[in-house]
Amino acid sequence: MLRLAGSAMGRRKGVGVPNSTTEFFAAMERRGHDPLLERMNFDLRFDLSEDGRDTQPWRLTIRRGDLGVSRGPEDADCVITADRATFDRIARGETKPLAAWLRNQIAVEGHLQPLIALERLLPGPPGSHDPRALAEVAIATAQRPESAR
Amino acid sequence: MREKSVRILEGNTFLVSDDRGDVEATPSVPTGMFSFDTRFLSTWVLTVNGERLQSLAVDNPQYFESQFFLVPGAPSHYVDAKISVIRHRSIGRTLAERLTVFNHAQETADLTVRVEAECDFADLVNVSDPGAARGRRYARVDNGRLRLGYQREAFRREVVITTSTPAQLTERTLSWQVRIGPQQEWSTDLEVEPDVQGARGHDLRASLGAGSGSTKVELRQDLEAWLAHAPRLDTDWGSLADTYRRSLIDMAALRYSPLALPRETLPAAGLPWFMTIIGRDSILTSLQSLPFVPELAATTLRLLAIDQGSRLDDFREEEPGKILREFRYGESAAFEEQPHSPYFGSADATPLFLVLLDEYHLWTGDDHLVRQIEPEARAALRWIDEYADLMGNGYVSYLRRNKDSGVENQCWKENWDSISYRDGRLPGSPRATCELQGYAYDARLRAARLAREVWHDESLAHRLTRQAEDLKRRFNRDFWVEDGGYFAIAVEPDGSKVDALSSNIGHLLWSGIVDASRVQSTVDHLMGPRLYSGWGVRTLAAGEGRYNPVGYHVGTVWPFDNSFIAWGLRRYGYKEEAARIAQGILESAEFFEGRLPEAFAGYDRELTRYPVQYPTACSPQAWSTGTPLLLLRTMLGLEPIGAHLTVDPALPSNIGWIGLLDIPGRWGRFDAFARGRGESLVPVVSRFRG
Repeated sequence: MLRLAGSAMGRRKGVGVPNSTTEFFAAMERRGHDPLLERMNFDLRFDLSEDGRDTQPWRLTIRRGDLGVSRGPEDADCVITADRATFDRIARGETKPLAAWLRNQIAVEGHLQPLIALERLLPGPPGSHDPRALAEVAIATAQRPESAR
Repeated sequence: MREKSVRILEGNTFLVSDDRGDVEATPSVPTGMFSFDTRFLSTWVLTVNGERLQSLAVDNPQYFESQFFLVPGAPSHYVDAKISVIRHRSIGRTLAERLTVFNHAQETADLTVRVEAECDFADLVNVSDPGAARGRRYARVDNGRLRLGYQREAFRREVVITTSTPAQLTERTLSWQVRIGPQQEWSTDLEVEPDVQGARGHDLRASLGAGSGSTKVELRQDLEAWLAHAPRLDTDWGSLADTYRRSLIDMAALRYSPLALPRETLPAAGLPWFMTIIGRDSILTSLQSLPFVPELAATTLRLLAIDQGSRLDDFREEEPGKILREFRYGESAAFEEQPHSPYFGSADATPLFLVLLDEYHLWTGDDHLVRQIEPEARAALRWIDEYADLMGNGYVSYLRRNKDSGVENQCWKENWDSISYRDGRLPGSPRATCELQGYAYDARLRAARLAREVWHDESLAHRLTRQAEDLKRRFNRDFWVEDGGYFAIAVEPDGSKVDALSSNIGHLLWSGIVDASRVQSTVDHLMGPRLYSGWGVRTLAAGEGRYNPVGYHVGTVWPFDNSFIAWGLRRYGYKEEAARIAQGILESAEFFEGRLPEAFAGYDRELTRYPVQYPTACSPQAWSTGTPLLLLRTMLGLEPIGAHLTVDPALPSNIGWIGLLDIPGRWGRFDAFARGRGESLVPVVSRFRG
């Protein structure tokens, strides 16, 4: 049986794979605390546009691992500008923020570190595997007698 | 292809040209100007009156500066030039080139000076196999400047060429009609500025406040300060002093500022093609250079912690807690066609990250950093316990998940044929190579020390120690090749021992995983004729099925490999053997003006009397540059113990004395002295200073 990315992520408190930007921020609020971010203090702002129109910016604050979500235009350590559809894909793990930035699909101002920290809160690409599951398959295949392959 | 290539660089901006200073890139001759993993000039050819020039001499005063002395005509002609040209260039934020044309004749000369400029904007990682461009290239003459560009969706890279003397511009040439009086000269300055466009037309890097390079003067001052800051070496072996200085200068050239830490530097893997962070290379180079420039290790640790894996991603071979293999910024990474954003396909970087963290702390006493990245260190330990244990047998192993662009062997010997049986058969997957187990053992013991002394977590320390002891016991049973008297290079899932004799067993000594009863036999193999060539230990022993003295990982001698083997020999008290390794490698450096190559051929020293360099694209290579540094450490027997540095020298027979002054660390600065056996026994005292 294959262990999939979704179930591995599910081990963390309050995290399924979000379907959209709104679900992503709701999930961040539920998550409350992430031990992997315990040494971090950052503010991120997300200026997302929808059909070419700006929307009220989202804000994600990280205070020694505690996550907070709010709306508002205040300054932040890292400001990410993207269209809503792109951010939906990011929220689902379908594309990586760093790559999207390198191809200029999203803009980043301020420091890069908070953007990388954000990746710790995002799911992996849909359908990714736990390497142990693939190893199980590889070993089983190798052990099957020649004629059965 | 013209033989000599000349390169200059600063950060990840560099230029590779022929010895005339010209660039004519083809897939087989990947020259050009590169920045941010993208080519920004693929043609850069100078002509005078339509004629190419030939090189009289090239001068490379610094790694960021070069000068070409040229005359018109083909190299076969007798040189009786009425005209000559000096092309001086330096690289920093931009490429700055000054063309000076001299008229040596008694008459006035009317000349057409022309530079041809083109750019394909190829991705550095695809440069020898570029494929069809996915985007659109353009060239524009605009406002007295030549602007070359490439656009694919919102991804845009441009290069702008400006001149100090107005030029006649076309979309691929800059030319000047010049009249030079008798015995007069004419010159012009060209500036080539790469632009990685981000939002609102700003350079992507500028929006992060990243320094996008320095001026020539700043670079000179920085290099002088770097050299002045490093420990000073005094020795009666002149070539060792030269090698040491070469290493320090090359290490300066290899410094690289990652975007996430734009004001700090870490060692990139190799110049010029690997001016990026490669987890394994940056960690091992940081380990080698700790006694000399400990700040490189601090940046390496911080950056690798920032970029640590957190998700499952088959394409990037990422798992929570894993330390990256490689980061790239080019088009293929940007469009997620290649996995380098970053790519995680290496099984050794994660335990080595923990080894470096502890060794860094031993030298510097920097509790703050150890506490700062405690969550990442714990995640790395979990990765070793969980995701790395692919076979459920407690051993770290690897299995490539990205079959298209992933790395087959995810240990330092990455080549496809590097892990084999004596008879040359390749094992199945997953593979657990032996040195990975050594690293995991060492990582746990070192993390246990940090848990006890810095994180104040006794129960973690206790658990890690127990795990390490158990691993050592099982490893000495499961990997030992009984009829050979050495450790297998790997084991297969069914427990089969992959029984080739290899240099990997030397890393086991470094990690301390070798049981006392197995040490002598391991050392005998390392110093025996099948592994030891006279210059160093071969990657694979002569006589094995796949042994080839000029095979990349199957018979060549790698200086960095030997430096860690020497460290391992010292760890188990084999001082003289360690000194022999140091001597062979440092003697070979004499043949390369102090710059050790990545690898040289595994021929017997008796046979060639010359270390035959393995042809490779990168020089200097970071871990070859770090090798003389680590060998100095092993010869002096430097070990940090508590707040002190201890010295226990064992010099090779050809060295009379060594003094290494101002070694930085938690003790402040320390001077270490050593005398060889041949010297009279004048007492020497190593001492602490301020």
